[in-house]
Formats: sequence, C-alpha cells, structure tokens
Amino acid sequence: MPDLFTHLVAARAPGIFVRDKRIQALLVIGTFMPDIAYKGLFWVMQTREPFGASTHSFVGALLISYLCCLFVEEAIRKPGFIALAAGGWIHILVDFIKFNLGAGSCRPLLPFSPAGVELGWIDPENVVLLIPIDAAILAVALLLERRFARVQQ
Amino acid sequence: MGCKRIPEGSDPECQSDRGGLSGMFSDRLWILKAAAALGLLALLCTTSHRKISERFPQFELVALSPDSFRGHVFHLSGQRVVAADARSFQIGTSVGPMRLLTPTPPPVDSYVTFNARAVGIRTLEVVELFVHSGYGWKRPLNYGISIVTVIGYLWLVRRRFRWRPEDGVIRGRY
Repeated sequence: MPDLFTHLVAARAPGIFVRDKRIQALLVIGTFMPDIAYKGLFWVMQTREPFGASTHSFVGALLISYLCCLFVEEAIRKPGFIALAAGGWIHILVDFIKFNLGAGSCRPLLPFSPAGVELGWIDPENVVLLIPIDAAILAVALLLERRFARVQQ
Repeated sequence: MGCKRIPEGSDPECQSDRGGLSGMFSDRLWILKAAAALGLLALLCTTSHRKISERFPQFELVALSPDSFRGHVFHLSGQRVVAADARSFQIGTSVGPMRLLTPTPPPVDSYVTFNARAVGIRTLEVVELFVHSGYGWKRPLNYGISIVTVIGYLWLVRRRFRWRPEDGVIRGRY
C-alpha cells in the first residue's frame, strides 16, 4: 500500500480549490478511510483479505463515506459526504499505480466484479521513496493556496 | 444548536428542512441511518468475500486438496522466503510450508510476490516472480509515516470542528 502521506498529498493538492476548510479537511480524511477501514477489519476483526477488499471499491468508499458523514454536523453533512467520497475515490485511483504482477492492486468494481485493476507503475514498497516528491508537491500546493487567498482578499 | 425537523426551519442550512435526498443527511432517525449504512457495508464485505473466494481460491487449498487445484494459478503478495535451495524456495502458510519451483530462487528472508501454478502436493511452479528489495525496512517505514500522518493531520484540523460527545454521538458542530 502507498503510505498515507502520499494519499494525503493526492487529496490535499486538489483541495486548494475547496474554500470551506472543514470540507477540505473531510476530503483529506476521506482519503485515509479506505486504509483505516481495511486495516481495522484485518487487525481488529482478524478478517482475511477478500473480506476487506471492498473497502477499496467505489461502492465501498461511498458506504464508508456515508457512515462517516453522519458524524459531521448536519449543516455540512451533504457536502461533507461528497468530500469524503471524493477522498475515498482519490485513494483508490492512487492505489492503481501499484505493481502487483497483473493481479490488480485493488478491486474497484466490487461487488459487481472481483477483478483486480492496476496500472503497475511502481513496486508498492517503493512508494514510500516518493515522499520527498510528495512534500515538494504539497509545498507548491500550499503556496498556491496562500496566493489564491491573497488575490481573493 | 440542534437542527429540528420543522416545515419552516429557521436555519437555512438545516438539511432537515429540505426534501429529496437531503433526508439522507438529516439528523432525523440518525441511528437507523448509521445502522443501515453499517449493515450495507457488512453485506458488501460478505458478498465480496464470497465472490473473490469463488474466483480466486485460497492458496492454502493446494495443501488440503491438491488434485482439485492442479494447474490452477495462484497469486500471493509480500511473502517471506523461509528456505531455499538450487531449484526451489519455501514460504510459510497457516497450513505449513509450501514449495515453489523456480530456476532462480530468491534468498532466504527476502520478500516475494508471485504467480504460481499448482503442480503437486504442497508444490507449485512459479510463473512470475518479483523480489521486493528492502521490504524489511520499507514496510515499517510505510506504517510509521502513515500513523504519524493521520495523527498529525487530525491534530492540525481539530479546531475546524467542535466535538460534542455529550450530545449522545460525536459530531462536529459550530
């Protein structure tokens, strides 16, 4: 799995276009949720890989996001759900880059199809080596965000 | 500030005051909505488990009923090599060691991902093999960075929400 810092950057970079800081935070939290749900099932519930695989599917991300958005105040619950779901889908798209010998890095079409999908660009263990690049992207995104904020003021 | 379901709501942002799909996002019957979402998630996980297990049988079945799975190709990721010789290597499983035949066996204690065809009792022939370099330190580093990232980010954004567990559930409120 790519580390969650890489996932954070993948969600935080487009997040500069989200004006509401709470929704922006939910977009990033949404990108953490598939791994938190999967590891929770795996470590706490002691389930096997096939049981938790749907946490990394588009339908699974929607259900997890809906469950999470119920814990957000009612006034921002609907946009919060959209942000959480967008974060979850970004997580799945980032996971596609992993190389897994053609077996698929995740199964995004569950429960309709158990087929795995991957782009196979990088050994999943080597994603952690991208952290300096992630940090540079994050720095540029935060600078752009600050500049946009000044222009708006 | 609670959000009551009233026809002419004073709070223009209150989801309860709108029709359509907004009902899904209102406070009304909150616990039932949460239970329904959790139930659907459990159903999704169970259905997915069944479909994946049908299409991709568990690797351990090679040891339990070798004849049924002869010729079937299995995939396993991130497995530690526990023994190796000139023509094969072994990995540990919940049903004991499995032998994988390959002309280029990886060294003991390395981590491998492979596709392999079942050819006999506890024996498979490697079709494709990938050896992960530095798995032993990259994986813990990955988990460490992930844990620090989640805790650090939640700490940074904590002031964007106001947590009210005394209301019965933990919710962000202004």
